[in-house]
Amino acid sequence: MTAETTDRRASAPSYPLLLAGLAVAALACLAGSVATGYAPLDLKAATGDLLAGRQSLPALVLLELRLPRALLGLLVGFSLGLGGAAMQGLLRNPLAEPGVIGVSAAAALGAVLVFYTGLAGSFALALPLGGIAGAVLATLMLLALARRGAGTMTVILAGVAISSAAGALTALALNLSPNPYAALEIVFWLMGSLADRSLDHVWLVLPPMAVGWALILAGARALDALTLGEDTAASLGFDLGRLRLQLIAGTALAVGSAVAVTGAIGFVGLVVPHLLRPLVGHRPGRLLLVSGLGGAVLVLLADIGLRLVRVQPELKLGVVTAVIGAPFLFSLIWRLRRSA
Amino acid sequence: MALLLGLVVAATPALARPHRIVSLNLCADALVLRLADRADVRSVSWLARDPENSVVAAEAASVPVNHALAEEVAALQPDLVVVGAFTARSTVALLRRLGMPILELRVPQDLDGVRAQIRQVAAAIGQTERGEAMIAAMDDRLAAIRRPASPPLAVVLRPNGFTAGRGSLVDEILRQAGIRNLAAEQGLENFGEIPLERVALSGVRLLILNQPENRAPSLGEAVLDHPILAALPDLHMVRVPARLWTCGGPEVADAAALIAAAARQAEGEGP
Amino acid sequence: MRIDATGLRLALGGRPVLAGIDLALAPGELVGLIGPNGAGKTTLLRVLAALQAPDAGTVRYDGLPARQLGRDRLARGLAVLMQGDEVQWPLRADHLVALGRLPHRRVLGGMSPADHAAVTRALDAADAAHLRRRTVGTLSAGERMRVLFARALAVEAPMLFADEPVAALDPFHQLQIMELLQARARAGAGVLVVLHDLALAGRFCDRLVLLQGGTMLADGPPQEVLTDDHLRRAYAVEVQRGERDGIGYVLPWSRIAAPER
Repeated sequence: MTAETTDRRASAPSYPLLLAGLAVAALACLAGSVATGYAPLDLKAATGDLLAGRQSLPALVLLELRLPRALLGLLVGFSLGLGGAAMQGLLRNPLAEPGVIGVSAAAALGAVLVFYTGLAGSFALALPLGGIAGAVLATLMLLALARRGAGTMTVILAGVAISSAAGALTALALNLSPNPYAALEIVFWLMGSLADRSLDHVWLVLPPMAVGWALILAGARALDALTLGEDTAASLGFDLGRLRLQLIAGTALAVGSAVAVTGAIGFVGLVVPHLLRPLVGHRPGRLLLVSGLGGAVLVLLADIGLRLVRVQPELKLGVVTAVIGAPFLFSLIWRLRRSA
Repeated sequence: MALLLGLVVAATPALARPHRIVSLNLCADALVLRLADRADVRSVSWLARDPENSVVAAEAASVPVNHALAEEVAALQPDLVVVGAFTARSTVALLRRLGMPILELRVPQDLDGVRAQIRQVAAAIGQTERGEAMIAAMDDRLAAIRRPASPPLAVVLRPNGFTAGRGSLVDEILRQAGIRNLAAEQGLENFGEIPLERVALSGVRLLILNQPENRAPSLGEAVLDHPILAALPDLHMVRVPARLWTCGGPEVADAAALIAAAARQAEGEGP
Repeated sequence: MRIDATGLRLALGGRPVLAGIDLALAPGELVGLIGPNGAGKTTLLRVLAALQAPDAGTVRYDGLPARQLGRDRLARGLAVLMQGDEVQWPLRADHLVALGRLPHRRVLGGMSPADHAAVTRALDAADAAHLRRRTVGTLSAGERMRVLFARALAVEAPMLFADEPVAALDPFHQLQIMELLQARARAGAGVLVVLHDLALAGRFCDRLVLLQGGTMLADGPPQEVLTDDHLRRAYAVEVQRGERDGIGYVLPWSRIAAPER
């Protein structure tokens, strides 16, 4: 009786087609983000000038303001989507994502400590490293608190604990900074923003992110095997200790460096994998790349949206993703509660 | 030109000069220390001694300081307490209830407001002649400013991308310096944000920043180091010490002079 | 693949679980691992599958220890069907069975035609071919077990371990799974299955290994292992014996008042 309905559902779009579609969407959103701004910009002229090497004002704005913002949206969105899918695959829990499990908040704390003590001023790479360190610490704490077989409740609670602690320490660090502006900047760190970023930020985070992506994507097959439980996955030839390390390191590198330059943008890693999972037949391995591209699309769209809504002061990106993501989380929990 | 008068709330003892003046606010400190006799000043705020932010740091060195706490002030038994608009309301209310004479200073919105405030303080402390002298000195300073022949386009950039638009004291200072204020031309009223994109596309010639206030970093101040500002062609930068125009005292004339000199340099006219 | 274990000892949480086990497994026989609760059956299976390291003793696969053999060769040589039927994500049955091909697939490779053929063979052998497009969550317990079994078959490994594959199934499906395991052994694989059901164990297995308290009480053909004496000592039960179609069977009948444990 159910064979009919499942047959229809079972014909998900082909994987290469899905990837191509998402990649095109991501590039389109990238272009859209470059085209969106605070002042009218003749894109054609600016691009022409840029390619010809002419340092006209529109070319400068394109290169130094529009492009970094769009590129960061792409890179950060990709990292968050990928990190979310990786965490959900590893923890075997659909509610896991860097924001919910406290990794983003801890990364923000690491970055705050490095930035406001002036370390980042003397050694630029210190900033993403601070974010990465925070992320690593949080993931290790999470694994310690919610070991094998831990249910959803434990994972969420551990994440809440880590998030709260990290948020409080971040506020404390900002308060203790001798700079009076610091205390007001907590909104950036906890809600995230792509505004006024530069190409320097892009170059700074690209290397650790790329390494992180590679580590995570290399774990695709192992995540598939993990569907059947740790013992079966081990019997299929996968080293689980190494997989855990690999995914933690990868997520910490990608998400940690993202948070270090844009603050903690939440819910992307929760919403995107959940929406796209049915399109890959629920296979965690395939979900990785698909989530990354979906995350890029979501972040870019949100960033375009908040620039079109002319509110003063400007909406923070994390606010937009939270407005989308929090109700989503509610509905997820509601459904899990009913099935549990 | 609209004159903005600060409110004189409590009745000062008629005709007699106050001899135990206490100032709770940095801007008030500057006026009090310059207009009153040293012996008449009992205490100024602790910020007055900071050479970065205070124009009367030297004068305040020998004067006791307070932290604007009601008990401190009460113990001094002042016959005039000068407060600012941002002094804690609860402290001011408490002092009023204790029956102390309070003079509350607002932030002047234009040069007429600056003059009116000088007169107001001078009257309250019984030194009207010194007040007039201070105003005359400021006006002389303003008249002596050599403005650039053709006013360049400039913008004031504060942390977090804030700027001063039409109707603010900063705007009038800029006009005195002989430059065009980008924010005012784009229709910004008073204070608000200006996106870096608009700054970059507008073709500004002069960027006006405060001198770096803090050695510890902040994101808001990091925006002022955005690479695009360094990349803009023909962009000159001038850093104004914050103490010159934070308070809206007579020293704003020095700020205007500084900016005018920078503007002439930007236009290639020489200092 | 031959598996030879000698002197296995393992203590968990201070308690000895395996207290000196020697065991040899060869292709072509269906070996039943039986014993009372807490005898160490699952632990022994996990140690033999290199999922858990013993405190003492060795396990050799075709003469080599696991480390020397390497994860990949071990994964291709030994398929394990663990207890329970938890599948984390609602996969389609054929995708789930395809997971069994992971040990054979290249790192960046997809499924080759050979892999697809193996999946089809496995589904056919497990009598689950008609379920291939169904989502696992919509299957009944018996169907799900067969799909998971197909997954283990898809590895096409010379050795197959199964930990209580029939525990939650109805009689029809219990018999079906036991028949499938037997067919596998007849086809040349070595099969080790942990069982609680003495009747099934006696009927289908070529050889039985009886564990009690971490030691091996008996190892041999069912008629030698399922003696009254062994069963009293191991299970503290009296059994009723019967025979049908020339095959003997035992039914646990009554409990012994004073257990000799």
